[in-house]
Amino acid sequence: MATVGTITPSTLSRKDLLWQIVWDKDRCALCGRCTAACPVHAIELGVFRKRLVQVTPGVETQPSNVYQVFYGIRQKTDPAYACIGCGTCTLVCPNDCIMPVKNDEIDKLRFHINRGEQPRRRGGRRNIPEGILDRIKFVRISMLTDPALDAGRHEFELRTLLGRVLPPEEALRLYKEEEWTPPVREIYPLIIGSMSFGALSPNMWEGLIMGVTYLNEELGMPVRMCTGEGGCPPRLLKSRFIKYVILQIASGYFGWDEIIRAIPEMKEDPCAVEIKYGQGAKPGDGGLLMWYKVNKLIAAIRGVPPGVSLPSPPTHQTLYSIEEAVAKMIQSVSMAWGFRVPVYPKISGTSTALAVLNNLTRNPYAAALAIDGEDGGTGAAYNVSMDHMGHPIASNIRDCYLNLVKVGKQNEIPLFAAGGIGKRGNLAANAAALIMLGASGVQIGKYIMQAAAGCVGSESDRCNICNIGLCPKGITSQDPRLYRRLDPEKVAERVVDVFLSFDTELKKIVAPLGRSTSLPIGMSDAIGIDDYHVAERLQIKYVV
Amino acid sequence: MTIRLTLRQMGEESGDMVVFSFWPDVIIIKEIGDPVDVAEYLHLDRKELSARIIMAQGRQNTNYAINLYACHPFFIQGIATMTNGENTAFVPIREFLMSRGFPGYIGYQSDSEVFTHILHYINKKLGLGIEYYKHVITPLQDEDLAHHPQGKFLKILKETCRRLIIDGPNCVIGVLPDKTMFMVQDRKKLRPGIVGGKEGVFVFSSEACALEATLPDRDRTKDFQPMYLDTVVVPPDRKEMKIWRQSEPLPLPL
Repeated sequence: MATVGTITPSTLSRKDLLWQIVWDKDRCALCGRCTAACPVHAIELGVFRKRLVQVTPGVETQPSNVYQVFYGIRQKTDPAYACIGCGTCTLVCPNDCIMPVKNDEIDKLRFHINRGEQPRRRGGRRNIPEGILDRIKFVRISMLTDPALDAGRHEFELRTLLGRVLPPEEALRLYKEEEWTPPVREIYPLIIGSMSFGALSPNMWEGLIMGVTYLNEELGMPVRMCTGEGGCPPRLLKSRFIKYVILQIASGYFGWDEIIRAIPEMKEDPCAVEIKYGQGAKPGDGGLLMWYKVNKLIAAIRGVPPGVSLPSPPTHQTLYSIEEAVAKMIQSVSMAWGFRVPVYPKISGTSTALAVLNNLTRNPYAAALAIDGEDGGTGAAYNVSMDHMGHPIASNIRDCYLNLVKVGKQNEIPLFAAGGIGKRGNLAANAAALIMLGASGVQIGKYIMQAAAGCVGSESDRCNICNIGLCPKGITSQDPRLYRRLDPEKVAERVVDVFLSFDTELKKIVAPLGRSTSLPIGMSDAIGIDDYHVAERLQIKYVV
Repeated sequence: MTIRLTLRQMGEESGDMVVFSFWPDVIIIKEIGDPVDVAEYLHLDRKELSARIIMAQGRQNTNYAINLYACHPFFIQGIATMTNGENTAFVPIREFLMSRGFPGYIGYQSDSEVFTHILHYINKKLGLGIEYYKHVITPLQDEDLAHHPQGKFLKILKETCRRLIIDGPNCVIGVLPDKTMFMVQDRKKLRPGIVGGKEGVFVFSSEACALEATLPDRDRTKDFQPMYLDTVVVPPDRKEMKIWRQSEPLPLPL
């Protein structure tokens, strides 16, 4: 700041920023890569002045000052250019001389990122690292009374069902009378949750679907991936690989023109259709693809003009009640594929989830219920929605499961849990905990971005710029200069790595519990937690 | 059954009565103590005591509290089973059975009680015979179902009865209302089980030594230890044992 500058309310110093760039002059080669790579232009070439005291030997000459100019990196303090901590500068620096470091106190920046009358919007997830799932322990270990199984060598059956499972009496009667029965898919309990073509870059999307296809075709693991609301590339729609895909229909209906037109040419049915009513990261808010990311390709697939923001409405239009919303939507989508495809709603975690569930139990076409908890991620949302809105997934799933138990319909409407699973890296443990609380399977989004593509986002407000298409890893960008950084083949390899290691870890959890013949859905006697009230609430063991 | 349940309820209220069955020609004795002491005390070796089927199980309490209702065999409407082992999928199965709205599905002081009730459920509610028991509690994997002549039906059975799939190590010995006796194993054959006998007398036992002690004059070459796909059945005529493998075709169900 100049000595006679003006201080405005939003004039910040580096100390006020969330992320501060630490730069080592001695090692910097002034190559400029960091300034070129910074996605938000937080750093620029800095010209600095320094004073040297020049001392010459002898008594005649007095020591004197010499002023020199030197060059380096200067961090901008304008909130519009605040460092996001992504560390791309560190990634590209050949001399390891630059790194963002987090402020040691709560930043002042947060009070100023609403200029232009716009509250903060971002991508990412709730900026709260803790969660109950990591605290759930698996306490019922098979010891001597029954042998623990061998996770490496025994046979395991860890698949789950997606679709309306009829009560046995009813199913056998309909089989005998050769009547229609609801379609049921046997799938792997770890699903890649809905991330749209548009929210993700083409390379990321391609990598994911390649990985999923490989897992199915080569390894026989029935892994499924949901498209999110953004349609589906027509070539995939018309290929036999569409059976590995769950198509999503949401309130903007983006991409459904293409999908409906493709139905006559589809070789196989999709795995299922997910009707999105809500998203955990921004409950009660519709999908949002900001204009930065709506290029020609995205616009074509979604059937919209390029370069405009695409906010989906918070609710499906023309549907005035839950009865109408659920019954009509599910039935009409089922009808499109001749009632051969399971159709299920996805809602955000909410204290009204039970009401939705009760309604679904009365609808014979409702195939499942997916619940996305408060820790779910998003490509774009208001910060306030992400950080403060929503319901934790654990009690939501548990309540729904216990309610189904009460009416005797447990697993007839499979529950799928999402939102923050593996947010601290403990994917298999979190998934197994939710399954034992009553989920039939789990959906992951952020985890697969982190593990399969190197997303740097975290619960400590790092990066989180998925919304403006500047993803430094090219995961959520629609700019070819950025997404070419991501090799789809490598993403696919990582997807396979993730699923295979998850499979091993899941076996390492269920084998010591003495389970192998079926996925231990609702095996609540196996889990405990060191918090009395949580244990009471979830009806699991209290262990200290 | 309803009389038994009413009696049981009355007994539970005052804590002075336990009722195991109220079925014609069935006596169930459950006692706590060393099996030999109990047998001697009750004079079970009296010559006038005879029965067409004798089921005996001694157990050391493992997972749940000591309770006479946790003692095997469990009995419901002519179906009785006893188990060597345990069922790690107990809680979800118990929840499923208890939510069927059938008054007899109560108790569950032992995780093995669900073996009896699952059999009752598929027999009385689904109208399926003992040959389907294994297909419900430990269904074939999909690759095997694909090759099975009744794979389509069994797949439906597997999906819809998924909540009745058992787990853990166990050998179940049981009796059906028509006096048929059977033995099944868990999916991995983690518990021993052996059946042997001669025309008229058959012995189902966890261990070969018990069979040896009870029926030394049988043809040992006909002893059979069922493996993970097998159901051993001795029909009421007690002429021979039949062995069903899960991979074999089934009698048409419906």
